[in-house]
This record gives sequence, C-alpha cells and structure tokens, in this order.
Amino acid sequence: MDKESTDKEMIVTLQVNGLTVRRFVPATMTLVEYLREELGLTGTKKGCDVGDCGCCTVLADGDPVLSCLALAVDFQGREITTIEGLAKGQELHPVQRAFVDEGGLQCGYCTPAMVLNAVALLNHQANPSAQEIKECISGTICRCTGYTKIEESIALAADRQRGQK
Amino acid sequence: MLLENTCVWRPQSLAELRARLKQSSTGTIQFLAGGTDLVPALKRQGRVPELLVALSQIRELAGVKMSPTKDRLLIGPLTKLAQLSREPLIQQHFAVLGQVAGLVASPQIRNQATVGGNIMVDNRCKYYNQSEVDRHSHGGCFKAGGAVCHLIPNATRTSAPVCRARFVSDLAPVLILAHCELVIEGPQGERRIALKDLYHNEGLYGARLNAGEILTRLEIPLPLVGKIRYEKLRIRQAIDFPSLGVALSVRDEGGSEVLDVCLTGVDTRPVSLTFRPSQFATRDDFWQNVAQVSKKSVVPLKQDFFPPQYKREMIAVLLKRLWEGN
Repeated sequence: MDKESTDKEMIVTLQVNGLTVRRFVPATMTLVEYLREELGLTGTKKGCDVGDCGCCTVLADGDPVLSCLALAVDFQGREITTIEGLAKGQELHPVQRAFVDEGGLQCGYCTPAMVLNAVALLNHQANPSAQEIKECISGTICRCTGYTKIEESIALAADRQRGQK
Repeated sequence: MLLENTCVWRPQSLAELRARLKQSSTGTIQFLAGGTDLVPALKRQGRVPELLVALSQIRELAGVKMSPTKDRLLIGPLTKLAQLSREPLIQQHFAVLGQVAGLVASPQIRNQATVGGNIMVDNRCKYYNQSEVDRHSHGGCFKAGGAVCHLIPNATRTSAPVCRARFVSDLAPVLILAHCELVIEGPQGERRIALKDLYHNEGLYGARLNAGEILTRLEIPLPLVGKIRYEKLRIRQAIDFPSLGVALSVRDEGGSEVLDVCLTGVDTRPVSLTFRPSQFATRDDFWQNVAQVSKKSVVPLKQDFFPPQYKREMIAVLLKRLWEGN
C-alpha cells in the first residue's frame, strides 16, 4: 500500500519526458534533485545550485525554468522535459543535431541547458533574430565556447526547421 | 536536501490559507512563491522555518484584471514576471511595467519569479549573500545574526544593529511612481498600504509585513499620472540585479513639467525625489542641481562591481538619458 503524503514527505507525480512518474520524496526536495537522484536523469546538471549558472534548466510545460530553484512538489502534475526526452531513440532532436554539426559545445556541461533553451525558443519562434537567440541563452553561462558557436548552432537549427538548409 | 526538518504545506485556495493562518500555533512560517530569491537564501543561511507555505496552487493570487469600475489595474502577486510582460492589459495600460519585468534576471527566472516576490525581494549585500561558510569565515554580519557590519567598520558589537544591504527590486520604483497600493491580509483582517510605505530604512529586514500576513493584490490607479520610463545599470545585461535603477515619471503641474524619480539598487530602500526644471534659469543649472541632489540623496557603498561614486554620478546621467531621449 502506498504511503500517504505528510507535510514532510510527499508523493510527487510528474510527467517527465512523456512518462508519468510517481515518487515518495522529502517535501523540500528540489526538482533537480528529484530528476537526478530519484529518476537518474543526470543530463540535468547541478552547477551553482543557486540560480546563477542556468545549467539545471529544464522545460516545464514548454517553458525553461531553473530546477535548482524550485521544489519538485511545486511541479505536481506538470509536464517536465529534460535533455533525455528530446531524442527519438538513436535519432537526435534537430537542435541537438545542429549543435553537433556546428560544434556548439566544448566541455558539454551547459549543453543540455543551452539545447533546451533553444528548443523552447524555436517552439515559439520559427525565425528568431540574432538578438532573440542571444536572449534565449542569456540565463545560461558557458565558460568554454564564447557563445558564438552556440548561437550559430541555434540559427542552423532554425534554418533547418524552416527547411532552408 | 534543502531543509530536512522543514514541513511544506500547499494550500489550494486563499480560504484554506486564511483558515490555517488563524490558528495560533503555526510556528515560524515562510511563504514560498516563485522561489528564485527564497530558495537560494534557504540553502545559504541557517535560518530554517518550521513550515514552508508553497503558494503556487492559489490561483486567485495570480493574473491581471481590471477593477469592475475600470479605474484600477489589479495584479495578483503570484503573477509570473514573464506573464506580466505578455499580459494584454499591462501592454495596453502600463506598458513600461511589462518592459521592466522583461529586464529582470534571465528568461528562466522570469518564468518562475513572481510580481509579489520581486517587490518583496530581500535586500542584498556581497557579505550576506554568500555561503554560510564564507559568511562565518570573516565574522557573521548583523543581517546574518552576527555582530558586525563589514561595510561600516565602526558598527560593531557595541552599536545597535545596522545593515546597508541594498534594495534591488526592478518593479518597485516603477510601481511606486504609478502610486501602487497593496492589499494585505492577515489574522487581523485586510489592510491597505501604499507600496512606498512597505519598506524599512534598515537593510536588516524585508518588507513591512506582520507575522502571518500575506500580500493578496496590487492595485494601480488608472489612468497613470505622467509618463513613466525606467533604465537599469548593471555589468551583465542578463541575470544581474540592478546596480542602479532609475524610474522617471514626467507630469504636468500648472503648465510646467515635474520630474518624479524613484531609485533602486543604491540604498536600503527605494529613494524618491522630485525635480522642477522650471525653477532653473537654464537647462545646465537644472542638471547641475539634479546631479548634486541625487548624489546626496543616496548612500551606495562598495557592494558590487561599480564604485559608489560612479553609481552616484550615474543617477543624473540616466535621468538625463530618460528625459531627453524621449
């Protein structure tokens, strides 16, 4: 029989990458801890853990959010997309493919967040301007690339999405 | 784990919240809205609430609407900053507020942070907003429960607690110039307060809310008095809190222009000033006066990358840019 939620431990049910997951966890567990430690989805990175670096970005109902700044229980019933949820089997998501083709990564630590930021942008804006691309990644810090290759990767993904490349 | 011994409660409605707040034995409560300010603070400091009240389910507290009399804009404090930027009523009646919401932090944070959280954001200081280890390595400051202010060397154990942590809300100065009123509910019932009266002079404390009180609505009288603009100084164009924020409202008074100004980022609370250009013979005299008065009206200390004197001088620079640029 399932345990019941209390003020200290709660059943948290989320839609993660299209699957319904249900875990009995401490009520103050953050979303990044839930994803990494309960579900083993370690593609979501824990960087600064205080909302500065943006590496823990995931999509909540399609919008990028910082999973280190929120309690898992506050996303009860919502749809969470992590980097693991983008590819279809061995086939990369078009944004992932563009990052590979354009060399939009070096150490890779910020890459899941950068890719998810780009996916959210391209879902709303098929033809983003250079400024919109810069803004969409402005909350995620990359210490390797200098951002140019990341911006070019997102522009390439946008072009391909519109069938121009 | 964030707080192992803390309980979390998620009320589903304002009525449910009211009922529990009326019970006397609620212990130390902390309200959690977007969490972008509070969660890092809880991770970094030893001050642990017994109960964390997560407000995200209370739908009555989110959203923007017009009052039935059509003369007030009503903003729910749980409205996300990203939502505020896109809200048609805001774009129609108070577009600058939506633009300023779009300048706060980063896109991810704007998807989480709330209007109420932004106007009640805790004052910040480079000595306080650090890990517990870092803070204790050089002696905990008054705000961290210690007995020293690292920004004011002679404020020590023998003096009364003093704190120069700075006020950093972007929305508050713009809302103050729009004469925003807050509706607050608590165990004693409902009360109203002008937003400008919400803040303390000391950086030690947050907003002036009593135990168990909660902000339920922001009300902005329409039409706005004067045209409001805002400019923000910061090192990075994303993520950073304002090192200086200048809000300007230009209104007409007997045929002459009056400049109402509200500043953020340079003192322990928002600082309001008024300038009357018509009282000066030349434009140069006026700007000299603005520079002198604005420098003396704030006490920025060495709290971020900009030297205090630079921030003082930038007030008049940004004001001039805002006024003459339009």
